[in-house]
Amino acid sequence: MSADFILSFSAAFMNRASQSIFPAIQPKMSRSGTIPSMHLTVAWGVTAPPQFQFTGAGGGQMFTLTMPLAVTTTPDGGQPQQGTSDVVASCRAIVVAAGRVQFSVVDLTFTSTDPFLQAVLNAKKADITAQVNDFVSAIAIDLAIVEGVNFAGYALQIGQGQGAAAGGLQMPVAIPSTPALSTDFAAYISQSLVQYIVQTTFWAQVPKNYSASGADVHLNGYEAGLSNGQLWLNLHLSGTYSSAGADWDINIGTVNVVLNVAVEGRNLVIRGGNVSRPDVSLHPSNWLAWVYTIGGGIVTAIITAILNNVIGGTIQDNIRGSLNRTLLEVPVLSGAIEGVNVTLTPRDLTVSGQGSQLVLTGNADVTAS
Amino acid sequence: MTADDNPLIDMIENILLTPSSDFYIATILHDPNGGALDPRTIDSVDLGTISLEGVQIGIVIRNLVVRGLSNVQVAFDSEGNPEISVDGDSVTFHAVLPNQQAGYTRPPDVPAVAAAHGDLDVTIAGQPMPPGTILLTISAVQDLKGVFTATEGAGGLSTVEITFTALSVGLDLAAGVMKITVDLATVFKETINHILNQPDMQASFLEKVNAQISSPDVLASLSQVATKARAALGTN
Repeated sequence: MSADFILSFSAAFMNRASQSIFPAIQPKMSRSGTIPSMHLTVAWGVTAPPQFQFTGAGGGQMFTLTMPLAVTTTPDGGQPQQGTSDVVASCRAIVVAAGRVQFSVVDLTFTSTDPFLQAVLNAKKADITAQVNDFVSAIAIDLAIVEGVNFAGYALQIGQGQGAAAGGLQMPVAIPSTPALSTDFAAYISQSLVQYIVQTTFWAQVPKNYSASGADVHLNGYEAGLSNGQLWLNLHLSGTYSSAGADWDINIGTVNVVLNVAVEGRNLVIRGGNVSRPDVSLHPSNWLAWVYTIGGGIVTAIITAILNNVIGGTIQDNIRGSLNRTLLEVPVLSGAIEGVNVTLTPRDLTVSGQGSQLVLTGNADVTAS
Repeated sequence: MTADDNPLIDMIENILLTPSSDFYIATILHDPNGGALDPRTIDSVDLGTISLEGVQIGIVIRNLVVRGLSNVQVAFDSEGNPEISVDGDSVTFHAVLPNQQAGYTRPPDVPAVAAAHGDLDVTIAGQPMPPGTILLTISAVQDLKGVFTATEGAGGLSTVEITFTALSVGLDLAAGVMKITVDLATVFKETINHILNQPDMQASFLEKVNAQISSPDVLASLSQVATKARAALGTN
């Protein structure tokens, strides 16, 4: 099954974030210690921001993180000596419970022209891996941002410079190829997901029976979908009207509801829109109603009342009220890397329709303190 | 028995101090063919492993050629007496380097400063590193101690057997008399030098060298060279 919600993020963005926070976390990505018995100080540290490369290795769940590492030894009273090594961390991205995307280091490889440094780093691989893992594991992306939705399964795909994490209402979840990102991230919301939201948050909760001006109108069913970035619903209603012993069946044509999807702050919301005025007709269901119907004028008055008070009033208000909601909130992500607080704040959010799906794009600012 | 009781011992004691004698201390310790202490080739000196931030670094020196340890003279105590003691037919001498005794001419192949060079094998966490070299210099020896016995056979002085039973080099490491310099393909060469020149490391190195030069094979070889010098006894 195709994914119903896809969050796509670019390696370029990850690298920009890495660049932004590096001055704050650099001291945390280094270690220094003295060896009193040898009158020696040994220090190592990452000297430039780690670079993400979303190459798509390992079946689309692996990516690499490269960074330069310097090791410095300083004898007491002597001059420091420094050797450098390139470090390539093979990392894996997985979606853990509740739709949280987490990164972890699988392996580290060191490349140094100094064979002694190479051997020492290989020997210290476990320690350095743990250190780098602290960095990457602090990056967490939450897919559970769609209100009221519990996905049945998740999928993740990394490659061609961007990553995509997805949730689906049914298993298995497959990620189609997504367009190259021109922004930091994009969220793709399928029509199925919107239909699910309408089902669970609108249809399951909206009143099905409306009584006003002597009419009992039933909300019998609906269809919903996305088109050109708007949410449409076709509502099917019917009802009865009784007055002074006369009974009518009310035939109501399809009510077409078109609602706008918009960005408000960091929220993707359903707002405004139009509710059509359906054709309404009365059909006498007993002899007295026939008598009134033949009279003509009263029927027109009843229809007008139904349209104005029931469909145009109560039902319309309920529909709008039920659907006047937030689809999802793009969260401000924050986490701590080795005691440094890193905050990712989304901005420049825009929503558009692509076929039968919604596409929310945006950029993000990353700060560290 | 004292030297006074054994004229042979008394004789040996004297010629150890005499530069012109074939049994002069610097002479019996020197054999260009490698049979004595100078030069001496030590096949292997295993310095064991040191732990650097949890990384095990193994150091083994191979083909260590030591030169210059014959540039010694018998030490004198504060009262001007030679530090040679006799216990029965056992002679213990204490010598110092360099030899500044009048009448001694250092052979061309004996350097003024004791030095050793060899191949250096380093392993890091068991992984062999590209080989290097080690150069070691000893500017002064505070106590080169030797113990030997001299036994005279039935044939008189011409049958005297010299048998070394102990030999060791004592250094005042705190005075910085030893310097180790390695050459390895790493930018951390100076750090390795720094580590190897720590007093503990130098003491460990000296202990291993002493274990080698006091091995039965070396003592037997030195005994042979010294015994050949017994002719000096007849000229004393």
